[in-house]
Amino acid sequence: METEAVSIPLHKIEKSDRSFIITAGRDNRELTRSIQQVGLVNLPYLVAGPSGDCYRIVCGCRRIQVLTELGWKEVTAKIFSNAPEEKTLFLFAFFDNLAHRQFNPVEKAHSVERLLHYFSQEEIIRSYLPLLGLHPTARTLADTISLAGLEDDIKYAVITGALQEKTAVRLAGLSAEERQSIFSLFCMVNLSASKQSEISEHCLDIACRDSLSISEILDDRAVQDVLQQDRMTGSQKGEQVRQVLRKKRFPRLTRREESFGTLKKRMHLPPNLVLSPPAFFEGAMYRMQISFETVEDVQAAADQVKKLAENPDLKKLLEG
Amino acid sequence: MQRFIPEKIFIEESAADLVAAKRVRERCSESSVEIITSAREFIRLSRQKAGAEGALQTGLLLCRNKGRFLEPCPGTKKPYRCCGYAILNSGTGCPLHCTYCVLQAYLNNPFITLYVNHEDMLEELEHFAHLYPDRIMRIGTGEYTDSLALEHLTDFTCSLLPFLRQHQGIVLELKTKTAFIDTLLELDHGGSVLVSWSLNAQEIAASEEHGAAPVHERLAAARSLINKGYRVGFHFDPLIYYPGWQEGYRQTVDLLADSIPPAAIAWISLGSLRFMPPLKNTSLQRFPHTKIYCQEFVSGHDGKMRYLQDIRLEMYTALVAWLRHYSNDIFIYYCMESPTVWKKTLGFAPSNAELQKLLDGRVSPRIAA
Repeated sequence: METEAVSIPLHKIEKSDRSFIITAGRDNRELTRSIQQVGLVNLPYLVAGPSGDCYRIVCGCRRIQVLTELGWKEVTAKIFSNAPEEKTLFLFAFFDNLAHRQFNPVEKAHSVERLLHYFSQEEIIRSYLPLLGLHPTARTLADTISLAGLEDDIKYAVITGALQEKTAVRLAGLSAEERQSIFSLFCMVNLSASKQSEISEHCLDIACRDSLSISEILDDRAVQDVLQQDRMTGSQKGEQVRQVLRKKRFPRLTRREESFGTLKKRMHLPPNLVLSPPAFFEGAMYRMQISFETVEDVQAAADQVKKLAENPDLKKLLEG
Repeated sequence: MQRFIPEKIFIEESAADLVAAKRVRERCSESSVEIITSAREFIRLSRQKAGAEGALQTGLLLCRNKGRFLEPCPGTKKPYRCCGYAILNSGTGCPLHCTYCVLQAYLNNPFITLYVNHEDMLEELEHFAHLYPDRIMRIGTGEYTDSLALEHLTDFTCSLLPFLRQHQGIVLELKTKTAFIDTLLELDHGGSVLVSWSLNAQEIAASEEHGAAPVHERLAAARSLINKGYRVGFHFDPLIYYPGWQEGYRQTVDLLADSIPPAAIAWISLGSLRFMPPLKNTSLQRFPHTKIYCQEFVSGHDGKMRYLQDIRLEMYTALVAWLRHYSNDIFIYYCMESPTVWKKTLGFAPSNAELQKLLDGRVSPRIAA
């Protein structure tokens, strides 16, 4: 494709046109420093707009943005000579970006969303998902597209890692209002990716089971009490909210755990005897672990175990 | 309920001239037909195109089964008990579209598929029967498909009868949620075929078993077959915990008691909803309104999600009491349940071998009702 280097006034560049733009959530500080030090090294690529007196960005949106912020009035850019098709221009931008950097999840989503204008799903799955480092499946395609439709604040959280991509995909299936409810919670507390996922899952399951909205679940007094604690850190709040929601999601299991805890406490076991229930109370096999250093420790533990066998609370525990 | 007629039939080239394939084509004269070179490659490409998960196809694939037709039921891991059932692979996939169906996440093949090389199947069965002449075997076609949902296209049971008549130790269990029994009514089955229905609460049948017959139609079909000398079985599986489950399942047990004489029942099994974790998302993508996955499931010893044991015990205790009230003589067993559950609800916990023997004893010697 032929191009010609031309000096263009910056105000004639349509900065809001993102037809060919893939970049999302990139930090411009390094680029700003570079331009301040050595000027513009690589020229942006532009194409004349339909009216002929303005230009659309094909490559170099960040450079244009930085130059504008730095107060430049015009820029030398490469202008495509014979107006190529949009598809050709997009592929030019796509491969140019792909050649020199790793796309973040939102950039991948934007690329795929745009590729859908020009190619069949089958073609994208087969030829383009692998280029983006994604599995060539319809499920991956659907998940990736769903990210592109999210609100900007959520996309930004995905780029910064504050929100796990998988959780964002899950949120994409909700209404905007429900999505914002969960996202607002994640902004108020600190949670690992797996705990974000767990909380989202709990909220969705509770909503489904009890016919509640996500907002109603999170507006619940018990959740709000935790969020309003001034003395707790974000991580402590996150853990507490998680426990509150787990209890709502698994009322019988948590009752069983509490009941086990109460009975165990009443047994007054020494610290070197650890009594554990079956995982999730599935089956009837309890375990007792004895820690010891000496023969005397073992004798003492054996005496404790004997006593425990006569404890009515143990019988109660085993009978469930 | 509507019988399944595919919009399109895909036939593997090497299977096109087989008797069963021709029969299906004759019976689906309105369906378009495409001959494909390799079923395996066709499935691979279709999965890539439509997505492996949730994209079950409406077409019917006719091909050869290149593997074994007869295999042990995969069952599950210890400590859960299994019954030693054998699966006869007549095909995979099902047109009934139940929300909880494990096949959604289990199969790699999105097409309803029928294996049409019945000659090879009979040869394999003969070989097996020759190797183990005295063995009692319960074989079934209801593991990877519904046993009767496609019978109108294949006459599969009819083609097996000559073999079954010759081998007294082998009983075929047809598991279904349909009422498609017309092809069975006039068969001279000689006690070699046992038909069993999956039963559920009527609300659950309506909301979660989309293409299946209503419960009362299943029971009416069972009644008709009993009148023709068949023994029947029932599987309350999967039991679904939902608000009002007591009333729902009680009504179904009452319907059963009103329709079926206990003496005609070979067995009744109970099993609660259980699934490998990926099924939940796959199913929710296809059936976003189902509520069955939002109850208290925990991971079992076999990695499958199950209701908390307390919930299962509550349900089983109630079901066993209602069934015992209907008849004390009915043989009740659990599918994939723990010894703890067996002991607490039925008072004993057989080993896998003992359970197999108990169930074999229910069909041997062959007894027509």
